[in-house]
This record gives sequence, structure tokens and C-alpha cells, in this order.
Amino acid sequence: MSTRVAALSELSDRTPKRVEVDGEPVVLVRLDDEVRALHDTCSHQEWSLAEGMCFGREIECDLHGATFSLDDGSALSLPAIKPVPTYRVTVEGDDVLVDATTPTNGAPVPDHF
Amino acid sequence: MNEQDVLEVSAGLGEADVVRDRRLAAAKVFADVAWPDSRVDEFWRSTPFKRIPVGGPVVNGSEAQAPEVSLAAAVDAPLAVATIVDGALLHVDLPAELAERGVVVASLSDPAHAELVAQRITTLTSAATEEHQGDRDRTVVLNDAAWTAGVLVHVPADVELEHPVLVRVHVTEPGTHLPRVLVDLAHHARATVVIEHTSTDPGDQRVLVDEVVEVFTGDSASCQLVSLQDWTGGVDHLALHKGRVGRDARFDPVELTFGGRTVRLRPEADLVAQGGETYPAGVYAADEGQWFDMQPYVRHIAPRATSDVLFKGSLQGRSRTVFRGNVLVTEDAVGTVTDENNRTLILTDGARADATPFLEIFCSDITAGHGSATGQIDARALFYLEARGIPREQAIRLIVTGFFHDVLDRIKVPMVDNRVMSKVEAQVSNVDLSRLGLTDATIDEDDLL
Repeated sequence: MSTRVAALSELSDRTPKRVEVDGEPVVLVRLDDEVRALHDTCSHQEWSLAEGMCFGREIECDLHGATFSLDDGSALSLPAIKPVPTYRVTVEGDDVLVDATTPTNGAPVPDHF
Repeated sequence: MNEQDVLEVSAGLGEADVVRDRRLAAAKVFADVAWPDSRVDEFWRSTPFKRIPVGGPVVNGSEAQAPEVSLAAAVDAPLAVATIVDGALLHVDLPAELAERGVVVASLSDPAHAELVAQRITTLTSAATEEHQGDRDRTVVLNDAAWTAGVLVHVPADVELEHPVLVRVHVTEPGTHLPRVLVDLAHHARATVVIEHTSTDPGDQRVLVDEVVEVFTGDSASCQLVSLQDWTGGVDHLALHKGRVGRDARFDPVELTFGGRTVRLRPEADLVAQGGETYPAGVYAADEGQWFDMQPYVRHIAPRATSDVLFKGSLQGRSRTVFRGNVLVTEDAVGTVTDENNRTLILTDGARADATPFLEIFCSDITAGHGSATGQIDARALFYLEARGIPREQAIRLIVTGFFHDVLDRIKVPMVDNRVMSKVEAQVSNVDLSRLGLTDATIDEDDLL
């Protein structure tokens, strides 16, 4: 079940934006004409990833500098060692829809925030 | 909650104007601050504020009675007991022998003690004083303004109490409960105050207990404040247990946490005069679905004070515990001696324990230590016991009770000993042996060479 969470035109390229989808905090990142969605909680110390910055196809947590792949959510650098959940995104015209029911990478969903 | 609600609560309790005015000052702060935000507020980052059911109706009395059996049964002597049920102070028993010695255990709203209460209440919390800016955590300010059931314990100078004063807090109704305790020890007084928290299961309904305890220890006085969290499943509990420690005085907050859904406790001590001592201690055992957040905070404001924080916990199931301690040493606090430690034992896979034993030091002439360790049962210790014919369940019981031994030894309150041991035993007998997590630190053969 996909929910409309944002308009493509309001997302700046590689600038994270936090949205809520069915109670789950999700960070959206626009990569040119595509959009990626990750659970907005760092797997290290639960900080909001939307507070951080994006480099290439990675997002960096603002608190301790852990980086995650925007493609599969995997942890790419310490201090994080576990992946964050990724979600399926569909772009229909200017509408960005996210399905936050099941992570596409099978990562465990944080039980907080 | 607005000024009108506060006036109603105060009038209902028949309070003196001076005490009511302290409430109104807090109500003003309440209007100025927002609820904590776990994304912004450093001290709330460890527990998502959305787990806390604020905004429910304030519970102000019900038909319910406290259970017959309490910790008082563990002591074979007449005790001072105050009983709060569903946000109302039902009764206070004070043995004549204690009253003769000038000990006061009474309602915090009793006009007879209004002068003392007005002088003290909220000075460790939301009221700005010479010593601090005032606590701006809205959950604390709410209690400051709208507490519905309060107990005053006063021990006069040079009086030492042989037995603990027991405050019972029992909860049956959904909503927000606002109990409050004020302990005042004059110089050279000595007392133990035990707060026993119990509840009947509220089912799916949300219960929040938002509690504040202020403790004032005069010069060379000594106070131990023991808080036992023996809640049933669905209760959420926030508490500030804060002491102001006078010259050569001592304040020991002890947190014993076994029940509740989300329990976030702030045992705090302000060492404001030379030679003060504080030994905050905690024991907790978390099981499926529980979230315990322990936030001891010690402020070394005066020189040559001593503190030692020790919290130990065990976890199983999908439970979480947080130790977020802090020791602040100000630039004037020369000769400070402090240590801060957290130990957690994860019994089964799926539990998570976080620890951050902070130190904030602005003075170089001190001794300070801090540390934390989180681990599982040592496979070799278990093998050692099993190899001697001790069944696994019993072996785990020995290991877990041994793990808690040093912190329990430090607490030494006969009144709570049996209850705490039975809670620890209950957790051990609940352990899912098929999911037992072990640390297998087998010695590498190369290390032996």
C-alpha cells in the first residue's frame, strides 16, 4: 500500500527530507529523477538520518558520521554495522509514493521513534 | 492543565496560600515550555517521548484501596506509613513514639507545615534559585503545578530513625497520576524512606505515573531513598528523585525496577556543600516489551565531595534498557572523588542495553572514573557449574544472583531484600533456556603458548 508523501518538485537533489508514513519516520532523498526512501533512524544510535548530508549514493548520519547506501540501506562505514530498512518508492507524475509496510532489503525496523 | 485546574486541586486539598503560590509559579512555567522532543532534547534521546502517554486525565482519587500486604510486613515493628491510592493520600500512620521525638509524616498540603513546605517545594525542580536555573522538563513542571497527593517527611535535628518510613503508591485507574514526596532532614538526622509502587493491571488502558521526590539533607544528615518499581504490565513511570546534600551529609537514591512498560527514572544529587557524599545505586530486570531508562545525575558543586554511581541490570526477551548517567564536576569542586559504573547482563538474544556513562569535568584537581560493560553469561562459568552436576537453570540462578551481589550488598535495606531477591529469582525462572545467549570466550590455543 503506497502513500503519497511528497511532490517531486519540492525535493531538492541529494537533500534529505523527513516524512512520516503510517507512523514510521522515513527519509526521502532525490537522486536526479529517482527517489530513495530509508527508515529515518540510524542503526547505530538512532539519530535522524535526515539531519545529515548525502554524498554520491550515500547518506551520512550527522551524529557520528556513519554512512549508508541509498540503494540497499547497507552500512558502508563505522560506527554503524547494521543496515537501515529501505522502502519501495514510486513516482507518478509529480507525486512521490512510498510503501512503508515492508522493507525491501529485509532489515529489521527499529522499535522506536 | 491551566491555572484554573491548579487552583481547583489546591483548594480541594485545603492548602495554605504560600503552598498554592508555588504551584502557580510552576503553572506559569508549564505554559511557557513544550513537551520534550526526543529528536532535539539530549536527555530524551534515549527514550522516545511518544512512548509516554501524556495528556490523559489527572487521576484525583477513586474507590480503590491499597493491597493489604505491603513491604511493612517485612518489619516486625510499628512503622510510619503513608498510603497514596489513585492520586489521593488515603491515610498516614505515624507511631506515637516517633511523633514524640518530633518526626513528621503528614500530608504535604497540611496547613500546619505550610511554612516549611513553601520554603522547600520545587526549589530542586522548576523554581529558579541561586543554585540552578530551574528544571524545564515539562513532565516535572506538570507535577510541580498539579500534584494531587503529597507526603511530607520531616526528621528533626539529631534524630536517627531505626526503621524506614514507608510511602505506598498504588495505581488502579487509567490516566495521569501525580504523586509527590518531600523529605526534609535537619542536621545530624538519619532516615531511610522507601517508596513502594504497585498497581492492579490496567489492561490496555494507558497509565502514566509522573512522580517527583525532593530530599533535603541538612549538615551531617543522612538519607537513603529507596524506590521499588513493582508495577504490573501497562504502567508507564517517570520520576525525578532529587536530593540536595548539605555539608558532610549523605544522600543515597536507590532504584529497584522490575515492573512497568516504560520506566524512566532520574535519581539526582546536588552536592552543594563540602564533604557531601552520594552513592546512587540501581538494580533492574527487564523482560519482553519493557523499556527501562536510568538517568542518574550527580553535580559536584562544592569541593571535596564524594560520589559513586553503580547500576546493574539483567535483560531478556525483546526488552531494552538505557543507562544515561552524568557526573558534572564544576570548576570549584577541587578534591572531588567520583566513580560511575553500569553493568548489564543480557540473558537471551533480542534484548538490547545501551550505556553512556558521561563525565563533564571543569576542574583538574579531582579523581574520576567511569565505565560500562554489557555482556552475556560466560559459557565457561556455566560449563564449570554444570560439570559439577548443577542443573542449568540453577547454575544460571547462581550466576545472576552473584552478578547482582555487590550492588545488593551496598543497598542493605532489610525491608526490601526479600522482595528484590524474589523478583530476581522470578526473572531467572522465566528465562527461555532455548534462547540463552552465551559469551564463548574460548581461549585460543595460540594464547597458551
